[in-house]
Amino acid sequence: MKRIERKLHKMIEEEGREETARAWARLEARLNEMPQYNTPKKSKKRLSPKLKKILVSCASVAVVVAAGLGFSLGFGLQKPVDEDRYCSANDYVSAPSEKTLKDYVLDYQVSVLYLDWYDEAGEYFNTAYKLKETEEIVCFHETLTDEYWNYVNLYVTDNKTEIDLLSNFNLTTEDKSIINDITVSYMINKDVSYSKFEYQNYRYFIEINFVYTDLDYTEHTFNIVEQLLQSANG
Amino acid sequence: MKVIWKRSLALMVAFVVLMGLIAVFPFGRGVVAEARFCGYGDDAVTTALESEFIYYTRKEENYIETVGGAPLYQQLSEYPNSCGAVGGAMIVGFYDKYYEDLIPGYQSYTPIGTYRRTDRVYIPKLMGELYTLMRTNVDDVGVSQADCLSGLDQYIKNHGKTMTYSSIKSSNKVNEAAYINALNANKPTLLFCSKMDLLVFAYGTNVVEIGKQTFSGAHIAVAYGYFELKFYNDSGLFKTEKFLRVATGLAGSLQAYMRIDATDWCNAAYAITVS
Repeated sequence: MKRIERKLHKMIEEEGREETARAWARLEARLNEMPQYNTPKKSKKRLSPKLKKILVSCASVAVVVAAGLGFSLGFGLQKPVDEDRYCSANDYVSAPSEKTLKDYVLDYQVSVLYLDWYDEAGEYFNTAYKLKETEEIVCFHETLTDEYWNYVNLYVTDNKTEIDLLSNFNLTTEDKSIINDITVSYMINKDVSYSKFEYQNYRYFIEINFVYTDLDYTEHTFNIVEQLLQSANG
Repeated sequence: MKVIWKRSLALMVAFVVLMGLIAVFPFGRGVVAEARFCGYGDDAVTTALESEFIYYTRKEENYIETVGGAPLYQQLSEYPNSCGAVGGAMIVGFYDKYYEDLIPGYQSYTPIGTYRRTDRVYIPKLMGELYTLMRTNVDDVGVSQADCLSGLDQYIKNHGKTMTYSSIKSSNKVNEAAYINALNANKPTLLFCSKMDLLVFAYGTNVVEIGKQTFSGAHIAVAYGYFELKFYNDSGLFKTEKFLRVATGLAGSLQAYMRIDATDWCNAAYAITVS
């Protein structure tokens, strides 16, 4: 009971019983006239439709931005890397990726080259190699089949990262060629070609497993590298 | 004194008999340690690439493989220690070309008769089933040879076919003649390796570079090709190198070569037949 009510009760009781009824009536009337003494109620404030719309829009934008930010951080290849680093198998895990390299390029506006063969390829699949600690993608691997069903393996890293799963590209017996003004190192053996180059802060490693033998492997390798470089033109 | 002597003799005899029994009948698991494969986890240590160079004036190559090669599947991180399941999946994928119900709903080969690499539904499902049938990570990390073969056998039985296998190992290495016979009969070989020296080649002018990376964990892989390189100089033939072509299941080295004559890696090798 509130303090003011207790005071009034005391006053009324001291005046005697006959006045009690009249006094209670007066008290109630007085309390009703004094809204600050009413018990506060939780009011359900309703948002105006306009405000609701604004809040929903802001929330949607916030979700998209947060998701994009998280994704771009997760993609990793978008982040500049300041120092050279070496990643061994103990540092990363691999996971199939539903997104293609083209998806990442278009979604996050990164300047990564890709082979736009998805509609024509008999088979393609993607694997992301992510650091265990940060889930940053340090290498993206895309495999596509060409028109001869040769398997073309494209690996992309930033130009500061070396990763052990690409050690096969460290063979020293290699030749060099200039394709679209880019120096490309390459090696051809029995039925595999390895080629690599650097372009705008990214390194590209292409391993082609030839199954179609009636091909000039060197020429075919150069054709694929050229197509990859041409994707820079959009 | 006589009693003590009799009792001592009885104890000695009992001890000798007990030792003999233990030698013949190991009591419980763990008394004889069974080799495990893929126990390293999926992040086995590999060494950096080491190269050797062979200079020659002329070389000859000879290569044979199973028809269409082999499906080059890759270990999936959702199945840790799964080299047994991946090796088994490659065997199943190989024979699915001939018995299409081995992987129901999936065609494991391309229009030109080579093998598809993977897909996102059927091959992971296949690996998952084999993973379970092989009791991977049940008794210990990885898989034993016995469980790998048993699980693969069970899968094939479950799909209406029969698996048989024959050892092609002798003198701590793969028997070359038996392996070539298996390839000519279009049979892939399941390899149980204590380690793998994985080799790649680069051809230069009168030089072959052989790059070697050592995968230090015990591993299961599938061999499907035989590659022979003969090197000649002015004096004639001076070197012959012979290799297995291997589907490893390992990212970055899905296919590689291993020296057939090396005696430091082969725990077992079985030519697998499914009929």
